[in-house]
Amino acid sequence: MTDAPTPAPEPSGWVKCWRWLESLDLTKPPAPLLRWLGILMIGVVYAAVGAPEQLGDWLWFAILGGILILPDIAGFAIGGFRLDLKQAQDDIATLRQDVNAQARASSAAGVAIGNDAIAAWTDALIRAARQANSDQASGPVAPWSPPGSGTRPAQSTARPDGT
Amino acid sequence: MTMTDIWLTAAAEAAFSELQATAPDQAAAVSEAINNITAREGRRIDLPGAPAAEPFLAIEPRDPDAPAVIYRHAANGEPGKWLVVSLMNRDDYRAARQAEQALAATPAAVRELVNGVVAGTVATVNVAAPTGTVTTT
Repeated sequence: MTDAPTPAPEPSGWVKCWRWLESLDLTKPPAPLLRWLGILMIGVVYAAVGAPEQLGDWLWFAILGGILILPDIAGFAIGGFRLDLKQAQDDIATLRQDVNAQARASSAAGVAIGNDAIAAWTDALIRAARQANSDQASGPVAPWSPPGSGTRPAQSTARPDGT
Repeated sequence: MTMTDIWLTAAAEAAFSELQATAPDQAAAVSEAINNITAREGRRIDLPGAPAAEPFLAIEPRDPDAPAVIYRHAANGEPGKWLVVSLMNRDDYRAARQAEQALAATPAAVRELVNGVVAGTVATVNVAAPTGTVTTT
């Protein structure tokens, strides 16, 4: 008697929430529209409430605005250090396409070829190779003498190196 | 061209002698094919076991049932210009050709896998030592 497999535990609410956040693509509609609306709201709040008087009050506006605009930043440079986020993103996308294309090709080839075909080709080549190599190690032992051209020479036992 | 340009291995010599005894028509076709070795280059067949610089070549005799002639250029230190290494069963020859063509259209990983297996098998055959007697004193 075998035990039934234990079902995987239900993920907690935090895990579900994190997975949902992880699945969001902030660069695809309607996310950009919502983000820029958020930035507009910051401006509206600024106009309604008035400019913060203390430096600490600016901080939250700056952080919120930075988070909202972050997906649209193509890169930044500080001194000699330059990070081109757009370029990196494009490189990763290209790499991902290449990997996917190779995976698809290998998968299709594996399905199309099948183990039987590979085994048959291997078998055919092994049989041919065995015949081609049946006595090659002995090297040349007799010069060719076509039938009807006279007496066939006796098979030489001499080695090409004269031994 | 002299006939000493073409040499045979013991296996090829034995196979031809047997063919003469059992199927003279096929032997005549094979003989004609061997005579033509110096006149026209055979078709390359990529099988393991040949010296790196001298790949195997193949000629198909006129008789469709006659074995294919497998040969190569003589390597350094070998007499003559050509060495007939074997007479290959025609069906096996065709199967090998088909396998070669089919493999050419497969991903490199599959080709390497098959070639590795074939080369390994041939290497095993080549190093298989004949059984003998060892006398110790």
